[in-house]
Amino acid sequence: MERPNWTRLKGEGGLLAGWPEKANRILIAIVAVALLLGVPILSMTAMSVHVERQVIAIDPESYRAFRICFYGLGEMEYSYSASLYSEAYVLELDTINFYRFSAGNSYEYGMKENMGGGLSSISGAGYIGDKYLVLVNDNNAPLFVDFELHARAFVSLIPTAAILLTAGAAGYALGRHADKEAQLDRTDPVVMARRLVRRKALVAITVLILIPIVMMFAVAAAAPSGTGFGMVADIMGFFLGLLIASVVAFVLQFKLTKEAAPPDQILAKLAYRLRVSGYRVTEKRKRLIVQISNTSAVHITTKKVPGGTWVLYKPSATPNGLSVLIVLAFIFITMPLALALSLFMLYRASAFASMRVLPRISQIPVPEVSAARVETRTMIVESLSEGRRLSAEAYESARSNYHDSVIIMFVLVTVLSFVLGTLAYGIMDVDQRGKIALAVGVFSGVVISAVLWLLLAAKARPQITEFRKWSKKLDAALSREVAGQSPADGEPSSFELIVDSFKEIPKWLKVRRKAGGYREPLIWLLIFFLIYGAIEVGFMGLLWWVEGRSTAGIVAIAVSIVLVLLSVGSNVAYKKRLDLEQERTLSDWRKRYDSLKSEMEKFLVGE
Amino acid sequence: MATPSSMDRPDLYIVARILERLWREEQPMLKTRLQTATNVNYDIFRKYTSWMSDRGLIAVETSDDGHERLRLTPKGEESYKKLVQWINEVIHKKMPS
Repeated sequence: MERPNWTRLKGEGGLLAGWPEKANRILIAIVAVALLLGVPILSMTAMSVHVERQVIAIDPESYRAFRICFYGLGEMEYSYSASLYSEAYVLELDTINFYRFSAGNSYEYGMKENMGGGLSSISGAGYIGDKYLVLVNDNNAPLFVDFELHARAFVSLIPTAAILLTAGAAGYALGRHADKEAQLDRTDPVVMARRLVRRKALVAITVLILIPIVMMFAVAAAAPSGTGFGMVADIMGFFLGLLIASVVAFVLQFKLTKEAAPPDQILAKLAYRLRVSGYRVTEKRKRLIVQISNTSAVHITTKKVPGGTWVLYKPSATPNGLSVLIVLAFIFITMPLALALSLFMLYRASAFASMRVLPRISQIPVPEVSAARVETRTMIVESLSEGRRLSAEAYESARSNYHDSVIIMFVLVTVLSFVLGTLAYGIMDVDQRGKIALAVGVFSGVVISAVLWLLLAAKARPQITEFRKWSKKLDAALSREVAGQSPADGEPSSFELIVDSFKEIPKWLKVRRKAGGYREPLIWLLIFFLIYGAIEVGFMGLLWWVEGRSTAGIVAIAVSIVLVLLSVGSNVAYKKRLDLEQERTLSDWRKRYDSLKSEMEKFLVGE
Repeated sequence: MATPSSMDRPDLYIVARILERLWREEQPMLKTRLQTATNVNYDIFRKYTSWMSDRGLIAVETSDDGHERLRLTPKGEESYKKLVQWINEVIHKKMPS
């Protein structure tokens, strides 16, 4: 009986020596908390700039500069009053233009105001990058400026990056420590190959982190002066760099190891070994797609070369992960988080490839029994694994559908409670009607939400429980089969379980079809962006209409209506396509099941 | 009641359950042990084992202690493999060959 020593399932603990999966999740939770608490606190304390009201003396033909470096959201207000009326002005410059200014070269400014006259105050809020506030004295006499500055950062990228880098370094150090504790055998070629794989990934991550910084300076330096682009060039360069680095993280392909066996054989054996270890493996056009978490996956491919076959890996995102990345990139200000997530996925993929894939490539199962027996067991394992994958996807889809329903319900109830509150405010003519209306809105919102939530949960729970049971049942059967054990007396055989699970497939497919957004995030995102665009343009049109710019308003509202129609049309077409697909799949499935049953019965009776 | 040999539509599940159980065992199994493991009513069990024995899928051996034991024949092993192969191919979206 084949009893390989690498068949323990994911999550059993002590899977392989070194860094456990659980530690990653704990580290992510700590980083999330550190970001949520640390970023605002550090931004408001360390990044803010305060200059209390004072008189500043500036020498003739000289200047005094104050740097406000947030790279994030914040607010700034300053006031000034100068002793001279002419040739004294205040400038707002970005880094590159400040250096151009201080070097005496031509420069562009974001703002220029003469300082003469009475006390002037300037304030603003929003994104503030690296800004210089320069008080300039071009007179032949000293200038005295009554000056005060308060710049507060709320969310800055600098502490965000510091926290992420610290977490990355801490994670790396802990990983190294865990490897040392595990007393890895450094004469083992697999252990050494693993170190090389990780090192290559770390080099790639470092280079990708540098891309936005290099792009920021390169674009800012290359920006032609006098076009107005210079003021935003560094920010544009930085965000362009973030986008490029995020995309490149999923394009890079890394060499894992070189084997003598042909590509098909390597992939087939690897797929089998990963499946028996509990991973979800999909085979697609001579590549394996292994899901390693809800958001991350890894693609494994091969390349035939003289003298063997290279096994390569590439990080990838699951539909869920891709949706999160696109939304983070779309919000723009959260683009650094998109890069952080991409790099984390790259790191995870390299860790998975080195810790989980690499040892499984070099292991050759040694059949202790006849080849036919091994082949039968392999097929049972493959069928159970596929059934487990489908049932797990159905379970996740059912949960996703339930969560979607809950979110939609909350949105609708919020609108309803707002309407009820407004109606209550309008109808009543009593003291403190505002408070009463608020109470009506909140009370109705809470009660209706609670009742509807209970109803939704009661409706969804049986199906979710059923799918979870199937997934667990197939998982247990797979573990048992891999360990070469027999089912307990009276329990259904693996064959029966496979046939029974096969009968459940239409139900699983139906649930997956409902979770369309989960399966095809790009379509879902297209519809989301169309609706988002329609709302944005619609509001803009209404605003223009109110402002009296009726032609522009009508055009914008017409565009908004077209976008709404496009989103509805796309949704209807998408659902129709899914319905047709499902009908075809189910009809095909029924034919296959009938054909299979009759073939089996004929075969047995014919025996 | 139909006699074992007159079964024209055997229950696929019961046949597969018996085949699989014997396939898993290295040694021939005691009849009573196999009946308990497969959780099949004794009459039905007898009917099916007799039917399977007639078709050469399983063989009956009488040991020195007088107990009857059942073992899977090479043909039975091949048949079980064929069943597994079919369901595996169908699950992986291939029509049965």
